Amino acid sequence: MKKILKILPLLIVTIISVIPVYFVVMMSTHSTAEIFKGNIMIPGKHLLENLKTIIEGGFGLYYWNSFYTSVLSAVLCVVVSSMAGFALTKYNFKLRKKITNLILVIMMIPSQISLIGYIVEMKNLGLSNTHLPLIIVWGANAFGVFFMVQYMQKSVPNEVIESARIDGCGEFRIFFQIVIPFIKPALGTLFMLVFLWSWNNYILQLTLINDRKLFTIPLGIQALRNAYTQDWGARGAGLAASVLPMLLIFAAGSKTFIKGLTAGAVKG
Amino acid sequence: MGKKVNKKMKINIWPYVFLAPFFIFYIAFNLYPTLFSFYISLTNWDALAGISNKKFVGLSNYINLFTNDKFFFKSIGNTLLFMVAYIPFVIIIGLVLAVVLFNMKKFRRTFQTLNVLPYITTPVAIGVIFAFMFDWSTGIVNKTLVHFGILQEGINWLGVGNYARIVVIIMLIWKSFGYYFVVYLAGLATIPEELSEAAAVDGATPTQVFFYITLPYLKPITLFLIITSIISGLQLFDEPMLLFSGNSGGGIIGGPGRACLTGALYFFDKSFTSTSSYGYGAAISYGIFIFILLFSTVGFKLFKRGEE
Repeated sequence: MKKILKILPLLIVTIISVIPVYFVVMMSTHSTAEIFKGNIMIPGKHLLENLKTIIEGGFGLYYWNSFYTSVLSAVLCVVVSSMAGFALTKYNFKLRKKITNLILVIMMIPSQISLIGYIVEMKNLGLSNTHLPLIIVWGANAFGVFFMVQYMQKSVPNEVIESARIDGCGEFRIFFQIVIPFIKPALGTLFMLVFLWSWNNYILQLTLINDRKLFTIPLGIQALRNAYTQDWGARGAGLAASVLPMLLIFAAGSKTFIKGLTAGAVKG
Repeated sequence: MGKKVNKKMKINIWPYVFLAPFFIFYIAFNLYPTLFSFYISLTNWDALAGISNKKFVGLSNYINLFTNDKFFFKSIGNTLLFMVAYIPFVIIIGLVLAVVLFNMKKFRRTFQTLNVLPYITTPVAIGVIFAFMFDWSTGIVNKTLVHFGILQEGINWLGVGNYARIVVIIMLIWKSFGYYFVVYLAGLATIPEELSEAAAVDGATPTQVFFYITLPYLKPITLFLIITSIISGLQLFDEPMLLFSGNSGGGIIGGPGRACLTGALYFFDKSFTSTSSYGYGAAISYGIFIFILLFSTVGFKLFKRGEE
């Protein structure tokens, strides 16, 4: 009995956390008429119909755009960050401490103060209305470096690197063939985080992209909202589709993911 | 001797090689635009008037912003109001439930995972979901409240300033609870077991352990959460943007009477929507940054004083 009393608040809060998301997924399986009747707690039969509506509205393309830009963003960030992390943890050099501190300072500066400059820069380079600005912005992510530094300090034994070096292994080979296998879990976590951030990013696409063919999911959701003012089933399908990748990421590895999420706040 | 120096030099170049990609991207796409934004903030550049009409105006945008712009202060004030309303709430609930879950063996992962869902849901989608739930005539919230007789008739949640604020606060609580929760859970795992065990041996009750060991130990984490919440609060954009861009919000950025205008929304509105003044917009973004520095410093100072 005491146990139930303890678990009850936890249960209630969890239900509140999940219900809006559940609600949206259920919405995508119902027709608008059913949604307005209000009985949508169990799955309906209109999923395919709703999906057809949003795909005809261009959602498939938005989905692809979001997917490939997010994958490229994550790959770019993971490669650059792990190289920087390697430099800052496995070499002794004069500026090491200073650069590590600089990364922390960069991490504190909000991205918004560079936004207008970035937009003008991209326009000047002829890159507005392309996906490139959405990707290269992840090339220098201070959190990524910070995360890799934290991880690599503990997980890559210096002796292994030293002995490889004595065996005449080149520095690039040491990094790609010896260090990378050691830090695979961290690479996976960072990949998931950046994929998600890029997938959810909104203000950058909103200011740089107005060609419908280049829309990503967040812009697509807004377009969908304006296009189907009366079709709540279709809206639900669009929202559910936008949430899907994160559900998959969670199914793939909630443990490592949460570890990444709390990395800035909790040491160790 | 010469050989040794040579070898040292050779080794020393590699860290810079591996750091180079980061710094190339950083300088080209972050530092340069940041400095460029600052330069723009010293001009009266309006995107519509064109770059040729751009004039250097010195600090006048900033003077205007800090002495004459009631919307700027309103946006800062709104953010602080949101923070004061939701942070204590999620800290208390997040911490208490984290302690409860931490002492449970079963279902730990499930509870953790399910509660993080809101935090990582596409923010744009959250805005739309909440706009749908809190819709005046068709929203489930009004329907439920009326159905159970709690209200006589539905509230125009998104059409009246203070109600809209409540919706934003509920949204913030819903969205960030899971994050606070998992951060505290991760923090609890770092408390050395001997500490609470020793206290228990000395006859401390679980409540005493909580107040005298757990709470002080988690203080740096709490500080981190508060400061990052204020920083992200000032940058809050996606959800309120979508919350009020539908039929029910009247289409005004920041909601009815701009009651939910955040720093980021104001910056966006000035730069890209109601006006296209890049110069003033850039000044707003730097103005927000000044407040972020201010809040962070005050936060650290208060924390330091508490330590002593």
